[in-house]
Amino acid sequence: MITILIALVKRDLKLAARRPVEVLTTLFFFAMVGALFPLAVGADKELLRRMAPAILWVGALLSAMLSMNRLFVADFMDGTLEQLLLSPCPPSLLIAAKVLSHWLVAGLPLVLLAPIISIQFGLAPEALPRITLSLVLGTWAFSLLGAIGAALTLGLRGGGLLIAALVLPLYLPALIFGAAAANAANAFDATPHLQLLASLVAACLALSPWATSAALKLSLD
Amino acid sequence: MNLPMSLHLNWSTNWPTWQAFFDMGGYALYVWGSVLVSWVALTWEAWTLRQGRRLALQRARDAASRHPGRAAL
Amino acid sequence: MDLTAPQTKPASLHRDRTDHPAHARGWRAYAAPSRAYALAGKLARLFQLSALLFGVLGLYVGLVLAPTDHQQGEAYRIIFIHVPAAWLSMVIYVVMAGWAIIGWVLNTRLSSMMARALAPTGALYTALALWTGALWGRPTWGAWWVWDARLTSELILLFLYIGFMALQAATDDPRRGDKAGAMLALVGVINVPIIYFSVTWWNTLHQGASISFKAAPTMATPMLLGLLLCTLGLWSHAAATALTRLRRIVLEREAGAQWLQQLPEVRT
Repeated sequence: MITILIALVKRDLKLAARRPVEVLTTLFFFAMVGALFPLAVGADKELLRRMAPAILWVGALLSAMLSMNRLFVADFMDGTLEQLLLSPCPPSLLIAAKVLSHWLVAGLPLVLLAPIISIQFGLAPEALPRITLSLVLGTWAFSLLGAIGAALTLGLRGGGLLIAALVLPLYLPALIFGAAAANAANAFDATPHLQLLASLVAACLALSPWATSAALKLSLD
Repeated sequence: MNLPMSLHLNWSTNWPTWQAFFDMGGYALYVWGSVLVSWVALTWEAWTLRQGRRLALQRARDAASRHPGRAAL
Repeated sequence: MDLTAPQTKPASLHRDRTDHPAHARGWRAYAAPSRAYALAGKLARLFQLSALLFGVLGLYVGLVLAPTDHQQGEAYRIIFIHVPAAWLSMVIYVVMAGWAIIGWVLNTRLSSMMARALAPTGALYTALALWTGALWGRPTWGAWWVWDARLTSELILLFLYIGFMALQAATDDPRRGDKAGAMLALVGVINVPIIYFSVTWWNTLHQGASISFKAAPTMATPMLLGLLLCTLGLWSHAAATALTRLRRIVLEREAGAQWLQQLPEVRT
């Protein structure tokens, strides 16, 4: 079972490596959001520092939303998705593997870029661990929840925007808890928000693959 | 439960004149605005429903004329 | 899977065991679109009548008879529209999700059609609740909008409705749209308490202006009576509208069926 998972993740990563433009587009979008806000707000350093965690979080949310429709489309187009679902491996596991590889390609780069943007906004280095942790958990939640939207809209017109309309209400609790953690004044204050976010991610880990597989079976019929 | 009596009293104590009723204690814009927007919304909904029904009936007639006497498969 | 083939199947091919009302007993016979179409017509007329009755009575009691509020003056009278709309927006979402899930689990397409019929009404009432809420907030709080837990959650409920309708509109295959909508509604229904909790959490963190939202008037009997009557009126109207819309959806989806082609309004 684990070998299948690892094989699937390796395959997806190899495919993503062949088309680095997808990773770079997500990263670029995230960086652009980080650059647009100061241009729109003005050079007020104090204001930007206060807004920085929120900007990081909204940027991560938007990037995740936009990258979601790539989750299943490529495999759907060439028939791999059907073959995967026909295999004896439980579909939830397969979907978990796909979500993991998607996160590695679309979520992890954001998390790695976030500290650089934080420093651009003048955030104190002590804030970085809790911001990074909140973003790790948050991007996991976004990938898991976005998978449901991607599965429901597979093959439909409307693409990324339709997914955005569907998953935005689902993303809101993660955004609220995560941004609260990122905005917290110190690690102690951030802990309850991080715990709530972590429990949300745990619930998504348990429920989302099942919901996604049900949606995929519907979309593939 | 002496209801009619008490209700009649309230009506005349609330609104001594028609003007007072329309004025709504200065809040005419908000109260009557709400009544108006609700009426507009519900009427619009009813109107679109009627349009939709007409369209659906037309389509059903077209389907019938294209396949006269066709039994449900 | 042939990706070049059209996505739709003709409605007449979607057969389920509800197509033969003669075989079903009791209330289950109404799972057949033909029976339901007739019943919905009768019920819609009844509900329309009761909506008119309760609505006019309720507005009379609320706008004319109920006493003035001490704190808010006459501005409080907006609650006779705002509160029923808000209550119904939430109730309709749950009922809609319920019908959608029944349609998915039991594979009865009429249940899914009922969910489709309810969605626009629910969305309209949510928008109405938000709009009348703003009209109420301006004179009483001084602000058209505040980001408090209830208003924000109501706004998100509107997004949930719109997402449901958008997904079904984007799906050509009606049965796939039914089931996809059911899944989305299920996730939404589970998510609504979570959203409400997280928004309340967020609100307590960012307690800005302490607007006492609990400053709803302590209800005198005429006020309660007016509220009850208005709620009954709007609920009846929602039922009438949804049933009328259901009839239109049945006409659209069952267009090839023989019982439909025999209908007097189609034969003309």
